[in-house]
Amino acid sequence: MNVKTLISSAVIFSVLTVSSVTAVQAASDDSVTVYSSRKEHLIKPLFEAFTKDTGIKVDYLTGKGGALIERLKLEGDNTQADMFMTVDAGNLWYTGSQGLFQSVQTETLKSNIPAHLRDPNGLWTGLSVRARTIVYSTERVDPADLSTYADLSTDKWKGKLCLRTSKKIYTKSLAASVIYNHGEDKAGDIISGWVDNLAATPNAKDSHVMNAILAGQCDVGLVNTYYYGRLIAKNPNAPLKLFWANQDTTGVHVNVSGAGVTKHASNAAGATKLLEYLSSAKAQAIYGSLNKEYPANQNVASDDVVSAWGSFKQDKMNLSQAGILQADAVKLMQLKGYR
Amino acid sequence: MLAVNDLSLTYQNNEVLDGFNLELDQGDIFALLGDSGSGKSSALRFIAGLDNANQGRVELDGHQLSTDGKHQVTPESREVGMVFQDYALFPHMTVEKNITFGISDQSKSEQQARVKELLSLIGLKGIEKKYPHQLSGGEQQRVALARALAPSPKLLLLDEPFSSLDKKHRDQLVDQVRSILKKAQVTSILVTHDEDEANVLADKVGTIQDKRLTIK
Amino acid sequence: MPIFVVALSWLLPEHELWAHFSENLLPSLVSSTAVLLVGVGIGVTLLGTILAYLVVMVEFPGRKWLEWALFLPFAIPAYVLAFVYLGVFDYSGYAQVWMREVLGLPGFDIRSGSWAIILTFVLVFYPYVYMMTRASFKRQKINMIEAGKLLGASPIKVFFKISLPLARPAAAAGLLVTLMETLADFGVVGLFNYDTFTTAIYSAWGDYRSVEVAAQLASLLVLVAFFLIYFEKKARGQAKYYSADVSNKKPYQASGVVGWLISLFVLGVFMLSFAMPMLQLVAWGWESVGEEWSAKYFDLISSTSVLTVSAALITVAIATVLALPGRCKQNSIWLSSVIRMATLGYALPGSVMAVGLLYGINQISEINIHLVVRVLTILFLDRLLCYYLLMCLVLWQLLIAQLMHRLSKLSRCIPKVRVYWAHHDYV
Repeated sequence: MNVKTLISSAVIFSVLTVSSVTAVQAASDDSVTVYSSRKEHLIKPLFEAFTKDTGIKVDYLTGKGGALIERLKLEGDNTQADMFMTVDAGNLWYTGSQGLFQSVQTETLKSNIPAHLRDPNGLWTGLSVRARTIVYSTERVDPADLSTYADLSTDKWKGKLCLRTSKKIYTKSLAASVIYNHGEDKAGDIISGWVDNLAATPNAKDSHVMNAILAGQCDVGLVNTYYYGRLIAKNPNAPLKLFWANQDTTGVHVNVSGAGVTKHASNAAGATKLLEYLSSAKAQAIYGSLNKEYPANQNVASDDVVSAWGSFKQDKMNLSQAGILQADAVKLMQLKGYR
Repeated sequence: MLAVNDLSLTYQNNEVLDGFNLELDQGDIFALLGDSGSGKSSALRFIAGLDNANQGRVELDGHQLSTDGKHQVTPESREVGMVFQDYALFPHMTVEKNITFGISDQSKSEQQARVKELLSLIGLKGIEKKYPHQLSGGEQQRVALARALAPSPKLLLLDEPFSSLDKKHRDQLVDQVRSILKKAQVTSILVTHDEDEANVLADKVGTIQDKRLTIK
Repeated sequence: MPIFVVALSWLLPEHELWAHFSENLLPSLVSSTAVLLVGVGIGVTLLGTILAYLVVMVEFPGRKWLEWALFLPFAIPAYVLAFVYLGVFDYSGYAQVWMREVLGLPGFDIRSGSWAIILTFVLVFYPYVYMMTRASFKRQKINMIEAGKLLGASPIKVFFKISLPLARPAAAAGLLVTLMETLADFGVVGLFNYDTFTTAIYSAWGDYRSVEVAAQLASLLVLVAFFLIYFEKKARGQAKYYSADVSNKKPYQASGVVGWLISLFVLGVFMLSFAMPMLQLVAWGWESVGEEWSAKYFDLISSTSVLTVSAALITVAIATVLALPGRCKQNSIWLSSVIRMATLGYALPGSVMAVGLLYGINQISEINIHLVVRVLTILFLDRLLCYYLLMCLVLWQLLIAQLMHRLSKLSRCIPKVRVYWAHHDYV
């Protein structure tokens, strides 16, 4: 084989393999196509249940959220996607702001999902809730000393606080909620206070925050509850507990994973049906058990493990604010030296 | 002055020298003749302290350098100079830097004086700042000689130094090198396979026969 | 094309955001990036050349297998090594727990400051310099070192005055690759939460959704890359010193205590950069097999390997096209600039590549580029491509240089080859 043949066959082979991996299976007319940044194992059981109950097939493609959004933009009205599914309200809001979603406001969605977890214009709907709250060492912290996110910026926590990096979306949304609840000036003071209280450079992962508390590097931190759930599942005796922040004030900061019907959906009706199905009691129960999250549908009980951590009051800030304020939040954290 | 006794060594799994003896007086120029694979280069490398031998002693100027085929004095402190077949000049250094490499412990002015003296000895003035690749083969060879002579070694070893030159230049150079060596009054051993070259350059010529040295 | 697009972005400034970046972020980013580059540069150059010199020039116990073992860290991606080091050496890692509990020493945050991240990069990337300088040392004439010895030079003097200057072009090439890798890294700096230029590019793009500012920042990075390549070219100088007499004999024999100390040092580097992390990974893997192993990992593995293989194949193809004429037509200016540009692709972090490509595509999106989009978004977002491109380019160039050298006596293009080698070879 000469060099030329080798090259051309290599190129052809590569292009073929790449496109076959990424290509969505040819969609039949009544099926629904979903682009999802949620992992396959978290969505597959839901889609299977939907197909079983309605007979509508679901094709899906998983990938990184940012790349999928760019792809939706580039594909324009050629897109095969009827629904886009991703995590974090900021990402959902951004997708909506780019005109990639269409408004869907049905009675079913309104009655299933509380207003603060939905876009005010119906562009997207939250489907599962994750709470970001205080985690503390039961050996070194009296929970009576804990109260709010803002309280963690006071001097009594000097050198005792561990936080996740400001580069992660959950931190950004939390900071956005702090701006929303306190105004930009006060929020700046709170973030400065956090930075002053840090016991270590902000960690890359929530699990690292909890490991640092267990190792004694710090006493308190902020984590998403399901990370706590994973740690406790591995190590039931870990001297760590969750504390529900801001219960006397605005409530625990929550975020969502959610979905919306794409602007150029060829099967908008089917996608709406799927969205409604995902908000129903049956699907919501599956959601909670898959990833130790909270159901977005308030009529559905949490998973047993999750319930054991106690119930709490949610921050009722409409989550589109997390998107609207995200750039401000990042800028504020960069200014205050929160890495 | 130099005494090599009872040298025996193997080259490519063949015993090529056994009971090799050589004694030289101060200022002698000795040529060691032999075919390739006769062990003459290996003998030279043993004297330089670069390779070990099965057996053998080297004594230079009253100092024991090697016994039992192993070296008590490292090549670095033997005060033995060597001119390699391919000259092995340092390609990234100028002629001047090449020559002063072995005398870097001297002062700058001493070094410069020495370079000047050696360049005039080898008959190449004004090439201090040139790089080896800018010189002809014959020039490179004489620079290598100057470099080896710079630290005033007690013994100079020349390993086929003319083999990569063409015939016309070679005859000229052999004469020239002889006069340089005589002027420098350095005890020298030349290894070659060319009998004419050996006869012109050396005071004494020896051949390797039956693994021993025979002096003519 | 990415470079071109990135350069164009200067024409579309976004004043407010750019002001935020240039006033509040750039000064500290520039200094932290510079500290990182200088530290990593010095580290890899020292470690890489010293290791290469030891295995090529000195005979010591265990040299033979260590010479090859030192290549193995190539197999571990940088962020994986960083992950392991943090797991072991950070405050909650067992090394520090042991230190505090058994030795009673105070704990510390290894992610603060820059020494730990520099050390991590050094241990990940030293094989680049090691690989290049090892090859260069192997080609050095043993005669030259013997000449140095007979002129009274100590091993240290021989190293610094002869071997190292001769290996300088090779070391500079290895250093260049390392610095590019460091500039382009996002994984390690992410785990250490250390802010570099790349972080800012991602922030501009991801947080502020500003492709323009991201591209402006990226063009600064490209400038740095050009700068580095220029210096590498200068450091390489005019001459290359190759010789054909590859001898297995080592000019230095280290026996006794010195030999064992050298073995210990080299073995230590190998343990720290490969054996320990691998064992740790296996241990963690074993732990999680029982708990979490499921089909999703097989999915991940299969999609990863398909991507890698395809990226590698395309790359080899491109590299072949670029490298072959590069050797044959010395005087073709445009070809050599194409090759230079392609090599520079390596200088671009995945972020810059992605910004450039996507930005460019946005401008021409009228064309139906369905398949192109698919391939590009998935493939070009991956830095693997640049990585393989460079590695293949280097390998091809080396291979072909070698072949040309061997063939030079038989080849019909003798005059050309002679001229070429006269330029590059002092013999």
